[in-house]
Amino acid sequence: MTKSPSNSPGLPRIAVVGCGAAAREFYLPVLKKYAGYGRSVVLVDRVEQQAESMAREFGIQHCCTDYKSLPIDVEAAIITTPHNLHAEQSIHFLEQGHPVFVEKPLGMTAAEVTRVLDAAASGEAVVMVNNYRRLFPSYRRVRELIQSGQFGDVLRITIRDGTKFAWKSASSFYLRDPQARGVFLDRGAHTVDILCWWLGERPQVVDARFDALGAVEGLMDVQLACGQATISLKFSRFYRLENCYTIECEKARICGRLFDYSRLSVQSNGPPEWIEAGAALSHYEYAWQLVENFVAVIAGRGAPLFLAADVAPSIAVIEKAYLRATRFELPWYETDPNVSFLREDVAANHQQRTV
Amino acid sequence: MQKVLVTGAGGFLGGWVVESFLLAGIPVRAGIRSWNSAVRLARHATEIVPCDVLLPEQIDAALDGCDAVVHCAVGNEHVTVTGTRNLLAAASQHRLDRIVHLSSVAVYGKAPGIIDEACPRRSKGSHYAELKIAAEKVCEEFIDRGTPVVVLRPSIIYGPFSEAWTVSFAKRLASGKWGTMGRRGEGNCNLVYVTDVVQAIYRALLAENAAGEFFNVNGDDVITWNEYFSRFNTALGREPLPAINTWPIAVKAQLLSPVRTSAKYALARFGRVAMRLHAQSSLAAKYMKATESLLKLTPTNEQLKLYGVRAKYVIDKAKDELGYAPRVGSKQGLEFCVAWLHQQGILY
Repeated sequence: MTKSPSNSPGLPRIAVVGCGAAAREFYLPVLKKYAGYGRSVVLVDRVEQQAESMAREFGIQHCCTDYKSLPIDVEAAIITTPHNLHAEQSIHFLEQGHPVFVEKPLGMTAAEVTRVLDAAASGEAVVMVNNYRRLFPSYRRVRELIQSGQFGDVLRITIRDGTKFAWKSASSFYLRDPQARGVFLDRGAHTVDILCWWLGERPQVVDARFDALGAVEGLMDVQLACGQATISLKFSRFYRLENCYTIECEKARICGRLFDYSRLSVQSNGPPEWIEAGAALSHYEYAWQLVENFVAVIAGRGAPLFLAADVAPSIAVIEKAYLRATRFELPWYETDPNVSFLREDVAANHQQRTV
Repeated sequence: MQKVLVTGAGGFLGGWVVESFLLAGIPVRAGIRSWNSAVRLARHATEIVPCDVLLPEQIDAALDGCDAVVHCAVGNEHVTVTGTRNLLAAASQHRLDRIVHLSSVAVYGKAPGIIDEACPRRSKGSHYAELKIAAEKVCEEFIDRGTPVVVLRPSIIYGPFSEAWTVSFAKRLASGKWGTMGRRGEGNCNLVYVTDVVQAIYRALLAENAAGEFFNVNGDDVITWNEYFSRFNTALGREPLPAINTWPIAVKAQLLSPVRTSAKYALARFGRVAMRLHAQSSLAAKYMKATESLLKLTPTNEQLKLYGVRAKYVIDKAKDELGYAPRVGSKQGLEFCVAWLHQQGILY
């Protein structure tokens, strides 16, 4: 847990829309450190029981089921609902001039993101997004190294990002709703954003393959290109992969583990050299820093560490990859003799019954 | 069949039953305990329902509209024994046409020789075998009352998504620290490819006179464990597998036994603290990774014993009475496994 915000100042009135795992893990632990938070926060969830039970658990007075009809006037909103609701709900608050902090991804498509940003502009309200990995010291150092050009142009990037799915989602949304999409939107919302941020530009989609058989994928490979750089990404919800990045530049190779937020290695002419880029905190602590930053911004005590508009290129890349994606070859299904036998037997039985 | 409920559909075998049935056009409903286990099934536009076998109301809802159930759910004593009782009670109430219960050849307790369904059950100190025997006894109670239960006893089920017999061995072989084990590895490896088990399940659902019967389900290739390691190694395209001295492995297995138990306990109780330590201390991260790798690459005492057991589980009864015929030999099965391992990024 990070230290309490200085002097625990009062909290502006905030609606937290969505009472699932993200609210519990990322948002309420931060908000409850502010004085008077029990009266300042309104919990919203379309499942009344969910909102009420979280309100009881965190000692919050106000809760309701409709974000368009809140029991108190709010000054800002945190959107932590399923992906496909982010844009619509953010726009509702932004148009009223209320600052919004939205869980990643900012939207499902580039068009949705544009609508959110337009609403922020017309409502003159700030919109931030929880792409907290931009705060990892090791990731920041990678960006500095690439952007400085000291190692020459980037030639090749490989990222392998996979862990067994263990998100304690309150609903079946992530696995059942086709709008949720699969591992690529879920994990790629972080990883592709970091990639775009490191490169300072938006890569082009060259190829994409996934294992979806009519619903949401658990495995996806994506090939991108950016200038002369080729980029290979692999995402999995099935197994823990190496979870590392390798960036080969003209004069050096930069490597690191995705979940090592403080260290990276650089190899130029000799053996790899380890760089300590900053304090080693847990990923929660970086996310909490960003939430505290949002509270400071709406209270007029600071500027955003980064804006939602900054992550827009990554959403466009993700959208294009999905549009281009084709299914992997899956010979263990397609050519399995037992599957063929079952299919033929079922057809024969059906024909027999029909006769 | 109107519709088949599969319990434990988030697991290795249950997942394969659902996927194979779906691909063949058999109406199926996947029953899961937690959404975390549903990533594989979620790739299909199929019906997935909560079905914790310890919650009778969930079972009742999951069975609604089904005329058969394939019971693959397994876990601790409560899940395996009480869960089976709960499921069979609900299945009786719903008057299902057929219940296929998945047991295991573990019920024979590593007895050597030619093992058919008439051989006695014995646990020989294995907790897993004890639970499987207890669940079979529950099935017998219901069979006596006229519930149409068929019990299948598969052997070593391997194939894509198998942690125990595919992923773990691939990693061991890829580590370069694994090899054939001389006499210790000359026991029979009774391999059965996962979709052959699915075929047996399908036939058990349909066979008219199978209710109340017990069947072994095994593959046709009966090879030794040493042969399995070598064939898998060849399929992975690696240099020929060396013979390794098994005494140090046996000693290591013995020494690591308490470490394995305490690591499991610590992770269950202090998982979050461990994650934090992992993130904050490179030394702790290095130590944890080394321990995890050592535990994964070293067989347990029980596994070492298994590699030496000379037992063959015969399938004549399943062939005669169910029409079961294994179709995937170890060569093709291992080719499927290797292609899948590469695609998953487990091997690269």
